[in-house]
Amino acid sequence: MDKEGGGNSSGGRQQSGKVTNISCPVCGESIEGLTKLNNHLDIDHGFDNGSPEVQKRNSKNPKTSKVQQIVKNHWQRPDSYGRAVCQECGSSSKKSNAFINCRKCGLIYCNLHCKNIIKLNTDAQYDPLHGKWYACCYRCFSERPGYNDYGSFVDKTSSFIGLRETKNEDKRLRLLQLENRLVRLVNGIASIHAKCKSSILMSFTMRNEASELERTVTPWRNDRGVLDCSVCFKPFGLTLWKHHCRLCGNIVCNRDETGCSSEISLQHLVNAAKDLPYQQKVSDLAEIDHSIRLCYKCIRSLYGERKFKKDLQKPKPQLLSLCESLESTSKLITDTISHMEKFMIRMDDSKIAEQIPKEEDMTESKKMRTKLLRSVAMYNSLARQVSRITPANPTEAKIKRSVQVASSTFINEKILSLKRVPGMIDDSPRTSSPIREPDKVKSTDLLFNNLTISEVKKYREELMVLKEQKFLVESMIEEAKKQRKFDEVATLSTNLNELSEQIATTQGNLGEQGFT
Amino acid sequence: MDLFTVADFYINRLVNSQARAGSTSLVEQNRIKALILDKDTTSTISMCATQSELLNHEIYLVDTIENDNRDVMRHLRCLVYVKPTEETIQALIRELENPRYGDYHIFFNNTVTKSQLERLAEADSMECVSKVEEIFQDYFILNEDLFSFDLPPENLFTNSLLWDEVGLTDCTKSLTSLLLSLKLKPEIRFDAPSRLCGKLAKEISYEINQNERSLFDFPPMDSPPVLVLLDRKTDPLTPLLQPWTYQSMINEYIGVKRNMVDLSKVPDIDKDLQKVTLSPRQDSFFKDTMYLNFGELGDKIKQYVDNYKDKTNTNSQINSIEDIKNFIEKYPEFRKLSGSVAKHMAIVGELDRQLQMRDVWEVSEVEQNLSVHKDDPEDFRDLVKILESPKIDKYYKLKLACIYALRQGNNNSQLNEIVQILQKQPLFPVDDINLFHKFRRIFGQNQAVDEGQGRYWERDDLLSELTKRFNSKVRNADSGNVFMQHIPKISKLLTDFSKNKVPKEQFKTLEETETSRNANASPPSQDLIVFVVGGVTFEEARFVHEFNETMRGKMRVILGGTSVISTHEYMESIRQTNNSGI
Ligand SMILES: [Zn+2]
Ligand SMILES: [Zn+2]
Ligand SMILES: [Zn+2]
Ligand SMILES: [Zn+2]
Ligand SMILES: [Zn+2]
Repeated sequence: MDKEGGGNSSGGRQQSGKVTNISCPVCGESIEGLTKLNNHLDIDHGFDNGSPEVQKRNSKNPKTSKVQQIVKNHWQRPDSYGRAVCQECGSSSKKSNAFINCRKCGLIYCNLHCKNIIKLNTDAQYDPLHGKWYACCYRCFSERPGYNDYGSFVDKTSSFIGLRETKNEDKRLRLLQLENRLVRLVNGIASIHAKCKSSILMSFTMRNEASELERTVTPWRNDRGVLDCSVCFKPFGLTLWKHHCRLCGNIVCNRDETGCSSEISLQHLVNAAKDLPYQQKVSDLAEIDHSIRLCYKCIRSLYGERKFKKDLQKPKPQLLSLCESLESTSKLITDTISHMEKFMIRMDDSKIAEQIPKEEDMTESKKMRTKLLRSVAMYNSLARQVSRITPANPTEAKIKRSVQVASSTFINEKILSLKRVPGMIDDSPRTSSPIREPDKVKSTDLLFNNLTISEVKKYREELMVLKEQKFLVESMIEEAKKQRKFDEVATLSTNLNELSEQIATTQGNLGEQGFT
Repeated sequence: MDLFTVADFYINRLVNSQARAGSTSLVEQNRIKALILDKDTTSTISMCATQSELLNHEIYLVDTIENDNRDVMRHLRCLVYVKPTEETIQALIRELENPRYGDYHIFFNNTVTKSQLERLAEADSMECVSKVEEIFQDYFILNEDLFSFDLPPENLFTNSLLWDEVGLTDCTKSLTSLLLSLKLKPEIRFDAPSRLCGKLAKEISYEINQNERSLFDFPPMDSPPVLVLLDRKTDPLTPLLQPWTYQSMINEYIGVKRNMVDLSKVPDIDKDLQKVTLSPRQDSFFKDTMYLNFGELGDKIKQYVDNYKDKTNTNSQINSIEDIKNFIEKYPEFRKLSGSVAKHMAIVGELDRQLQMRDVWEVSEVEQNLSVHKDDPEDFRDLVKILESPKIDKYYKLKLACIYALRQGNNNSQLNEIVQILQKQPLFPVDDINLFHKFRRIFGQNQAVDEGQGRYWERDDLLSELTKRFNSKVRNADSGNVFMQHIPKISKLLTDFSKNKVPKEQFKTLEETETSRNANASPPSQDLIVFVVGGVTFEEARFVHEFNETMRGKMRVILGGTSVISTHEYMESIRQTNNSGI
């Protein structure tokens, strides 16, 4: 492997001693000793790194051969006893031919652990394009940039948004025009309405004037030559009549099945787009009894996005918000558990060292335990709430199933493994244990005070858990008072208050079933 | 170069997707996510991630883009992961015109075209898309070092020399995505006599050059990776032989598609076991046994049962798979205890049943002897005996005849004798006799043409130290195993690559790159992607796996194919081959 040859501490050429077989890093052929390997590399593979032979040949021009020499001053040297130790396996020897310096990092390796090759420049830096091949260790080999890389990806968001902007510009202009026409129609009809409100011929004049207004606001498309509906493309005929959309002027049919156009009352039009600048108050427009025909496309462009945005503002379905709370609680529990585990390891250590546990550690431990107990109870109650929800649609049913799988996995994997935490799991099969898998509600359950039997059961269980916790917190407060830890008493008291509130709510839920 | 690591990386990008900073819309507050896939990405995801991994990332709903009956759930965030085919782009356009969810992050498993992106942008008038990203996994990962495009050979080629246009495009795209996912800008070497490989090499190289600046902008390597394109026709023998390792036997006798094994046709199968998934990823027993041969596999299962026996102090003689099955029936709790072993028990039982029923042991021995010996009269006698035996399936007879023709292509009198024997068999289809002649035409002619290159594969005398060492390691494992004498050509190819001794006449490069010019001076390649046009076998995957184990720390190989084929699929692909151009 030593392609530089003589004169260095570890790779020096052996004049005597046992010659070991080395396999060529290029072709894998087995070769007796480093000298022969050098020759083999030079002759068979055209390596030419200023090996001694080459230097001798070029001896008339020592400068160029010096330039070709790779730096060695970063090489690790054998220790003061002349012993070299392999970085990888720790084997050591005083024989210099048993060891190699990695040409890149310079560390010492045994023959077995310096079998890779790398292209380096004369500064021993990785140079994939202009370097020459040298022996190196596996670490230097595998740390080459790009060697262990993977996972290209291309973010197309900007170009997508750019394209969307240009596409939407036209759409927005058209929408503006439609909105403008709608506002003019509404305003016009409102003033016609105001004018003829008192007239006897009100409905008659209004219809006439309104239809005149409609045609001034929107130029109607000439219906001659138009043979089929511009939405569904069905040909017009005796049974399929032509209608004009009052906003875009296009000619459409009025089939119910396709909904190509519909007559929509002014009140609905205004209500679904309250944000537009009408002259009258939206509430004042309610009394006008007038409808306008709009085509499907106009309805979609005017109201589609408004509906989408409005839906987003609506409160989340209860199932989803419960899912999110479950998630947050599970994160809280996981965090607390890992805190506690670290803490307990520390406590164990101090026990081994026979130190008396510090008081603040004790209270810290209690605090964490309370926190854990409470969040577990919370998790449990949330999980039960999820199982009580009746899904609004098949998708919600799927989500509900997923959540139930997730929560029972969480309970099995995280919480049930908490046996080491004192007070966490009751070994006795009492129902008051805070950890139980959520039951499913059977539809056959009888209704009881608007609650099913199993709901009553659950609330009662919840109540018991809460009461047990309350008792726990109360005793902790007593303890803290005895030890005169008043800020802790304060926090615990807040806990206690919250618990009492929760108990009150649950009792409220249970109604008279709560008194057992 | 572990493909599962790549898959993990991409799945993480997907499930942890965040919209860019600044867009703090209302929907950002929604955390529950839906994952919408198409028929391709559904497999991609299910082969690499488990349900609980998805649940851990608040993905509570998984559905397909093709499903039009999805409910509107405006408070869900939607992660879309699809292959950019015309079909899914259409579906996506419909989705964006009437968005069911509040917010969309769209991921493609390969490059999208400008016009596809334009059409999507036009459809998104509600501006509900907040992220579009290309990731590159347009392929299926079977093992950490094996991938497949699942493109069956029937649709890929116009005839044995010509690509179908769509097939070529699909294959090029998928292979490009593989290179991008591994961040490789390889030198391409292709099976010189193969026109299919030559064409594919040009296409890939064009793809790379087109995107050199944008996509293939990887740091240069001192030893550039190599993409080797191999034609199935170069080694037709390997996919004809009955396989004996666990993974390949499952594919041969039961069938496994995208990690799904359909056991519903197995007699008396348990209800829970009708459809099972098999992944070295999620099933440690399978990971331990997938490369074992049938004998070793039996031992491994016996170990499991013995362990159980020791624990429970039960006494039953267990010497055969039948015994094991009886044991399980007697001790149902073993099933619960052993988890996935019950599944493997059902599979192994079925394999055993089929081997017995079809006399595979007998057939395989003759196959193996024919493929490693040349002109052995005893082999020929065995062959004739099988061909004349009334209990052997006609499929195996036809296959044996083909194997014989491959190995002894010039012995016309014996080949004619074989045809006569086959014709004499009751109910032997004329169609199969024709297939035999077709087989001879395809491979007989090829061999005559490649006489020069053909010799490359026969040069056993050049087997160097390393090949011998490598092969002997493999052979030792099956020492004296008559059923596994044959060594696929890929084995020689890999050893030659590891010594930098693959002749340029046999595996051409497209252009004279610096490395290929100084091939002598440069050390062997460190990273190889070997891609088999026309389908790869699990048996070859085992060789690649063993090669990787031997070369750990020096060389890494990933194997792939247009599909993974069984002997049936290979025979069928020859039957389907268009006669023109042969
Ligand atoms: Zn060599
Ligand atoms: Zn060492
Ligand atoms: Zn190093
Ligand atoms: Zn219509
Ligand atoms: Zn209109």
